[in-house]
Amino acid sequence: MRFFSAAVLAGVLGASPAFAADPQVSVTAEVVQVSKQGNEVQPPALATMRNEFKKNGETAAYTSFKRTSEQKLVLAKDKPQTVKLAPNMNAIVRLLELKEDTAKVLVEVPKLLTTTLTLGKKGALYVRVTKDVDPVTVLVLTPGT
Amino acid sequence: MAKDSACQSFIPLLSAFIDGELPPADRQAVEQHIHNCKDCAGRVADLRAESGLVRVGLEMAADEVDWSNFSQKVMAQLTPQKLPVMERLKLSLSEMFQYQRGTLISGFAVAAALLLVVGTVVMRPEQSSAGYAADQFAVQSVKTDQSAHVQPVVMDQDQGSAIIWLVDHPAQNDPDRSMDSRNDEAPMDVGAVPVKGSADGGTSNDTGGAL
Repeated sequence: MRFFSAAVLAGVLGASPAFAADPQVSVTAEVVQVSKQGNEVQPPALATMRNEFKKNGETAAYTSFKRTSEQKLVLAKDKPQTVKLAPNMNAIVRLLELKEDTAKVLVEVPKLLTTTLTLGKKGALYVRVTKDVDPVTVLVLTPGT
Repeated sequence: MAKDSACQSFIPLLSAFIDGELPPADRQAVEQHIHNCKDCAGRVADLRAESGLVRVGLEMAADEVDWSNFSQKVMAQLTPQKLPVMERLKLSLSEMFQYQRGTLISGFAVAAALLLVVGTVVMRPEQSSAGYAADQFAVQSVKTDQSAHVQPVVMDQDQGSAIIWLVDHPAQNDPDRSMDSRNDEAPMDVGAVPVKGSADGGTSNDTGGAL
């Protein structure tokens, strides 16, 4: 009984740093290949993205949406996360600040663009991350669950 | 006569003598007397026979009795009524505190520690929803790299989404070209949708909401 008590207390003390952990924000990052060729939407959940793209002249021509990767990012200050976009090409996602429960995030694609945004309950961010004409690689950020 | 008077003093001791209840000194005296007195020896023999008869009679009576559950029946008669539940609980607790205090304290400490750990684990998932107080995604700023020769076009959507598209911009005068919502002089590709919201070009302008 004494040994068990000591073991449990040791576990609690070991987990105590969790109480003082930095705030974290979850974001889901998807890499999607969009193309003007074909009508495939894979997975079907990307139909939302297709509908969003239809509404704008710049993106309405893209009819095929294929997800190549998905990962859940847990962002914390000073702990940037990397999203692989293509061979030898990564995006960096970083939590800049978490103020009044609103997260400000920076997305950087080296040698291409840098954007800052605030996260919201609804919607998503679609960022073109390649200069290729067709297909085009798009980084999609959605609220993490 | 002297013999009778001596017998009178030993006769009360004979029953105890047979039962083995006399002290050693008295037992020795009685043994010596009955050795010399035929009457008292006869009395001892009669007492022994009577005792044997009683024992046999009791054994015969005992053989006729059902002894199964004997102890339970006796205990049931000793405690005919159970204490009320609360009284029994109080008694159990007081005995536990009195005799097993160390184990009880250890048990409480373990339970408290486990509750602490479980509570932390249960609460932690709530942290994953942190950062989403705003209703919609909102682009604050977009900067493109000069060497990429592209220009960003930011398009807001009705459902709270935002699309950052890149269009060709071969001639870039500014090292960091960024979109400003009111910069009508910024060249755009034909067909690009004008920015409906605002995108801060690196200054601290607060867009104040979704594009």
